[in-house]
Amino acid sequence: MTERTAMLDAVSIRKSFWRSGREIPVLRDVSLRLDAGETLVITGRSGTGKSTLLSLLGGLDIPDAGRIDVCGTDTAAVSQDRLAELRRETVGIIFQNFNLLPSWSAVENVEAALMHGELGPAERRERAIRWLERLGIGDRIENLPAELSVGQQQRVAVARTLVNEPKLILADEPTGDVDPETGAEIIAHLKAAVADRGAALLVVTHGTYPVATGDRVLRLRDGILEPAG
Amino acid sequence: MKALEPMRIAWREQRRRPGRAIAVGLGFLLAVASFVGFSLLFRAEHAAEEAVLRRVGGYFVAFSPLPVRGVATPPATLPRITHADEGFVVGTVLTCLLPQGLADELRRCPGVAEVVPVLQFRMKSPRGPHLFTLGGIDLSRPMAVSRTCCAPSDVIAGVFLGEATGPEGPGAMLDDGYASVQEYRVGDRITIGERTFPVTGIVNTGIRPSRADVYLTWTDAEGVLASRLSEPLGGRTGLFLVEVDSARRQEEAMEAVKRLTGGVITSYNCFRPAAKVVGLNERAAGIVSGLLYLAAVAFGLKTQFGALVERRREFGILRAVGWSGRVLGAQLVWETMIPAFFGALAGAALGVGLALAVGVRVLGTVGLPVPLLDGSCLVLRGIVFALVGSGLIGFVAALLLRRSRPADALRTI
Repeated sequence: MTERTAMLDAVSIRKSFWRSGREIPVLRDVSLRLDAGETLVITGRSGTGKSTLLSLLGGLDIPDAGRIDVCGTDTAAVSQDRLAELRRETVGIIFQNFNLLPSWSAVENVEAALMHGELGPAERRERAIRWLERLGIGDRIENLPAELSVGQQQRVAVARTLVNEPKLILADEPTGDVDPETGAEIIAHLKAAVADRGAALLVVTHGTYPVATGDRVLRLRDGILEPAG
Repeated sequence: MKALEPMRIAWREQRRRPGRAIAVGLGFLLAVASFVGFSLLFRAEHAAEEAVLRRVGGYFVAFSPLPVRGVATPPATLPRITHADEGFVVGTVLTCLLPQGLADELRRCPGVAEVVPVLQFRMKSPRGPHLFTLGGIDLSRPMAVSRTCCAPSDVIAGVFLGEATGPEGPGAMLDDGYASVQEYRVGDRITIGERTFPVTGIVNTGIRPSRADVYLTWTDAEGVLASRLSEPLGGRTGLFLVEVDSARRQEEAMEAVKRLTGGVITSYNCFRPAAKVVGLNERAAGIVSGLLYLAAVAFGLKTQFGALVERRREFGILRAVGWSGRVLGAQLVWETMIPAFFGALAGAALGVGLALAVGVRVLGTVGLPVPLLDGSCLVLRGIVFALVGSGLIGFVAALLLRRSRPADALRTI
């Protein structure tokens, strides 16, 4: 039996927020592992901590307790700058609300994920355009996000995530606000990244993403991760 | 190339948000324009004040008084005077002789700009029983002579001593008062000691600390005095005219010269209030410019903090896609420094332009140039101040940015 490489290994994660002096526990003792070439779908109702979990796994926030290893790097043991580097080189995040930069054009938004890396300006632009064309919006590269439809904005967000060819893809409702046709295209691109490059894919969804595409499905309820019924 | 990436992106941001770039730039434009403009104008005014004050202060006479009768006079300091009532003087005070070589030492004293030895000898007139003062001046060092003793601008008839040399040499120049009383005119001949000189000029020197009735060149005066002294004058002089480089340093210069000569200093006391007045406006300009600079920095800080709040989400997204706090911080520093640099350049040009427009009109009336050479240093200082101030603003903003986590920015959307 071949040993698979863990792209993500989270052990006993806890996270709470404080509102008006009151602790609101969001994640209680969450553990999960995601290997290369594997797709994990985590379902859960709104407000159950799915986005917070994704934020912690992507190194955008730190847990109150527990340990998270991303591609072998303990995220609590490295600096914020090293975490940023890790995200640029290894992790791609698709946000629920796209998080596009409103004053940047579509191609600039995609290029943003390549900046401060090894590629020069011309190469960056060429690669960004190639990905936008692959996602079917090659004719809208100079448009600002506000000039694009919701579906087109989501495609730009997906292009920005995949342009770096990340080993770990964290997707928060990647098909949440798009029509079924666009959703199918996005799913196809994500599946291709897993199948062709052996990337690990973690999708959190409240039901818009087809759970059948996952190798495993877990459910987040009351801050606890459990097998989906 | 990678190191310059934040600068390239910051440059693009200037075009993306021209309003903020213009606001930061304008703050530094105003600060640098006022710094350069006011400083240039007040430096010019300072120069004008100094020029005026040199006419009433900024110089003094150093000499060593002759000890009172009965006290032994060291032979080295004074040869025997062959005619009664005659002697080396400053005003009515008889003086010893000092070695001329002392001038070199005096020139090295703090605050001293120039030192000139002068002969002042009180002697009897061949026309009658009265006494007059003979001045022997070194024309090769006109600076101290013209301020302390007599100047070409004092000539009221004929020419200044040495300006026209005939077969009998430069001749003699007479004080207006003496010439009137003795009824001398230009072209007459005057006998001094055992020599006769043509009168080549008449001067009205006004109030000066070292004036004489008759002026000769040093060489001619030394020749005349040869008949009055028991030994040659050699390398000695009766007094030194001392020119200081600024009224503010006159006190210091007088102390140093007095220590070296061991004698007496005479001067006009007007240098004391003058020293206090000179540079008052310059200091005020420094304070005003400093306040404007602080205002520009405060305004820049406010603008940049506003930008941090406004762009909180943007920075959160960029950090989420892999931009480090270090590169974003560097970008923020550049984003402030670029408009500050161009604002400072425009401000410097405006300041120089204002100083020229106003300064030339005002200072031109007193025949003084606007000190533009100083201006290039001021422009450089203004730009450096703007870059340092804006760099500091960017640095503070970068620190604040680095203190937050990307999730904080994204969560509060």
